[in-house]
Amino acid sequence: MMSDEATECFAKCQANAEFARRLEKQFPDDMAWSCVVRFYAALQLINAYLIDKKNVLLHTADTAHVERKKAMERCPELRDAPKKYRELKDLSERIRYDAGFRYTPDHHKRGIACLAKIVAIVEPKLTQ
Amino acid sequence: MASAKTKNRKTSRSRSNGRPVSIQESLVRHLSAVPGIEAIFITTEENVIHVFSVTKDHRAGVYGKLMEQEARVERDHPGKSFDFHTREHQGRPPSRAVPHGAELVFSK
Repeated sequence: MMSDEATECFAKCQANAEFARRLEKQFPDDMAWSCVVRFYAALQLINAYLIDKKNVLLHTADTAHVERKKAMERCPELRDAPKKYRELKDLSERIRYDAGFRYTPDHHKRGIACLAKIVAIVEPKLTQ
Repeated sequence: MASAKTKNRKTSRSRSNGRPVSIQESLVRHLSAVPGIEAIFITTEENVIHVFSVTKDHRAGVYGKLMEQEARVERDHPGKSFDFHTREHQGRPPSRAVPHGAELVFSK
């Protein structure tokens, strides 16, 4: 049974994932920011899992990426999710901070695939 | 717990003369060997060392080996906080893909 805080994070994850899909439909020629929104969906899903993990102390309100990374490293049951999270995070940073970065259909496919993999690994563990 | 067997073992944290390796040296030693990494830059912000590994294009397959090597850099410098990133130059000079003013540590 998820805590209230984890439940909120999971709801935010789902809302962000849905928002990403709406952005794609609304802006089919400009889909880069849907990838950024997918990254934040992944972040909230990871938060939802880590909040209720007994061997991890994660204060989501003030947790920087470095702390979240260290927390994930203490969870071998997350398997490939940290790699996919890192890939999605890197993609989102290029979109946000690299003014000369060209977002391509391949990037878009990778972003969708990364979130799907993270969801497939992490979401079933939320109910355990 | 130190044992007699490991007492004199050279670790990646020290040179043969006992001096610790610098962060830049660690980064070059561990990250430059990852296939596809063409340049490495660093910035420091609020005591966090941001490391930017630059490839030509997006390489999903780079993360396995890259993250292993990044963990080695962290083990070389346990008192430091690192935040690792990858960027793509996509044909531009690699410095254009990272924050302005980032320090170049390695270039192929």
